[in-house]
Amino acid sequence: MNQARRKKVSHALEFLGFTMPAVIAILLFVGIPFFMCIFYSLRKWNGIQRKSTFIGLQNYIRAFTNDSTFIKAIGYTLLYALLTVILINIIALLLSAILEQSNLWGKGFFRAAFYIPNIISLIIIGFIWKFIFGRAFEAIHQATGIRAFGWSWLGQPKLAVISTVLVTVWQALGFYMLIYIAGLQSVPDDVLEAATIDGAGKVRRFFSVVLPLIVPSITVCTFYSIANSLKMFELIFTLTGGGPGDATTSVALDIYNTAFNSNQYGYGSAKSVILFVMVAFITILQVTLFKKKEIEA
Amino acid sequence: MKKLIALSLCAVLLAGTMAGCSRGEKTTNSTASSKSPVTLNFMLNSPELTDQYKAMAAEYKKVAPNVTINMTIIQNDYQTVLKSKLNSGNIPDLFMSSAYNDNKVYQDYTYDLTNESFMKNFNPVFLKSVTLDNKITGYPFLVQSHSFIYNKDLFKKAGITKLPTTLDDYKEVCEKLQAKGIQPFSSGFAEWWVLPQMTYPSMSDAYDGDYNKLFSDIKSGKLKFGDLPQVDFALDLIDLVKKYSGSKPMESTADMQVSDFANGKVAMIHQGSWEEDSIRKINKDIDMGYLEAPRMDGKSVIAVDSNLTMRVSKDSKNLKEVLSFLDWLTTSDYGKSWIPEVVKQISPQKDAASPDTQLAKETAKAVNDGKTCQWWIFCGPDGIEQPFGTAFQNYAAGASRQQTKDNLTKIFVDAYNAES
Repeated sequence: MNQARRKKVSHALEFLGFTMPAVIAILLFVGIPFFMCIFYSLRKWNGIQRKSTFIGLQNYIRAFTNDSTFIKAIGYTLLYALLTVILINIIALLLSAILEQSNLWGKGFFRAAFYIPNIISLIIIGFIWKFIFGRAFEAIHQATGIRAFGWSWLGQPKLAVISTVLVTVWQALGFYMLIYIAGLQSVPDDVLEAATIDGAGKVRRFFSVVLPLIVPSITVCTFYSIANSLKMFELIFTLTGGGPGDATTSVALDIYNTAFNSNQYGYGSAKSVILFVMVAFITILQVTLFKKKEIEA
Repeated sequence: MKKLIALSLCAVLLAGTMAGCSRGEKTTNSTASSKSPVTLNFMLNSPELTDQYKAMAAEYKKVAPNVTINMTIIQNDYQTVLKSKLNSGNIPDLFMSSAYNDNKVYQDYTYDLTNESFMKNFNPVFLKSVTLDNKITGYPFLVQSHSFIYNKDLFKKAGITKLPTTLDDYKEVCEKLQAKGIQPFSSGFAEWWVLPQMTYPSMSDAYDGDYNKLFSDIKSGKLKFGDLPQVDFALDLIDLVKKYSGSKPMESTADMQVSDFANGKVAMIHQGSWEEDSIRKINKDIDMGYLEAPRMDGKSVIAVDSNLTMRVSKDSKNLKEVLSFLDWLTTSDYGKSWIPEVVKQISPQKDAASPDTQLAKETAKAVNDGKTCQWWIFCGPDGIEQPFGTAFQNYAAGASRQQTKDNLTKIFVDAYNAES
């Protein structure tokens, strides 16, 4: 009895010891700033002067009732998230299924090729694509005369939204493919064989056997893609700068503009608390929904 | 094989940490060896002047060998980095900012220079921008100008002899250029700061130049900014520039403006004296000049002001050394000639020599002719530049005139509400 308890305590201590460094780091670099952010969101402060005044919930009220840019940014962010999440997951799943099932020559090469954009910093991706959409498309247009290359991909508000989605999908694909490939590899062969004997074709096998078995991967991938796209900043910052006008201003970019360009730090903090609640709500909802669908092989 | 890779990686990482150590030691050693060592931390923007800053610091080292100037020079996110430094108590001894409303923004941190003797060497015109409540809060660093810059050869090629001064003139010029197959403008509309900057000189006749009254009326709600007749004029100007800026006016960035202009692809850009160096780096022999920006009242102008400001930190431990550095920069022979001869821009000091660059000469001429305006927008509330630019970008991308005016009005109301 006594020994068992001692064992339990030492086990707990060991557990604490191993997690402590991470817990301290997270508290220091995420926890404290988070609470400071909530503190400043209730105050009027320009981010530089030493004094700030308490104004209660006014920042939050202003964000929802008197700030069309912020509302527009929420709209854009939701649209951007919806499009990227759907496109990324469908294309990544499709490509990894094709790569896995076939015995294509150069399987490894394609896997690496799809993954490479993911290891380049988003800032640089933004600059590269800005150049491609601008100078390179212009040159291609002049050489070939194909209409689509002559469009103003970053200068026309609706096209610019599509451009940001396209670049994001291209960039993120590799990472999600990696998770899907791992999921596909974990599907046991015997189940597939049984399905084949039962007379299921390739398509039927994929939808009735493989898909239900890789729901855990889908949960992870949709979770990551939703959270990442709702928080997107770097790519949009360098690719379009939120423009033309505010057509591609995401919530995160709007927060940056408010806090650092308009010098309204308190108001910017309030907006970031709102973004936090938004991301938390949507992702928790998604994870609980998807978890229900998970089954064991 | 794997082990080898892992080992070599470890070695590289270790070497990296050690390199970091040794560098840290070196700086402490070198300061420790001199007699009464002082390290001054400067935080500067405008990285295009890096070489010039370094030349100046090296020159000062000759005069005051015990003073080491440690410069941090950045452009992107300068304000953000400065803010986090100020908030974390890691305050540089001297830092740069804009003038006008930044006088107020940074007032908790800046040393009052009013009674320093070297401030008497400045042209009083350029002290206006750094004065807050009759106190001089900063050291005006250099005079900059912006307006439409044009390529003289291309204008000659299109047979344009009379330089444009009104909106109609500009339209005529654009048509003549286009007839010769020359793209008139590169807009710079992708940059939120270029677009409004283009309109400021053309709106400078608002309230006949009484900007204090203008902004106090806006603050009190007596005037809606969008109702200013000058706003309509500015929108007309945006329409014109957009129309003659090729097929993708909304994608033109400042870099593209510079390269298109320097390569002779376009005849005009709206930019400032700070870009002359970049233009010359691409095309050394380009023959360029300023055009005066059109205004409603028919008086065309170039925007000229001293906006870049050096501020001395009030709580600096080395206050004395910083002040004697500024004194040297103002009164010594090298200091006096640094701006005109090394930086090659116009100095805000009295009786300073004129720099030997084309745009600076044209600026000096405009100053003598009285054809200049202040950077008046900075007399307004803090933090409006970016939303202002976004509103104009939205207009250029298709928003309606009324929507844009309402938007501009709201930007000012919000900005004044945010001030405490």
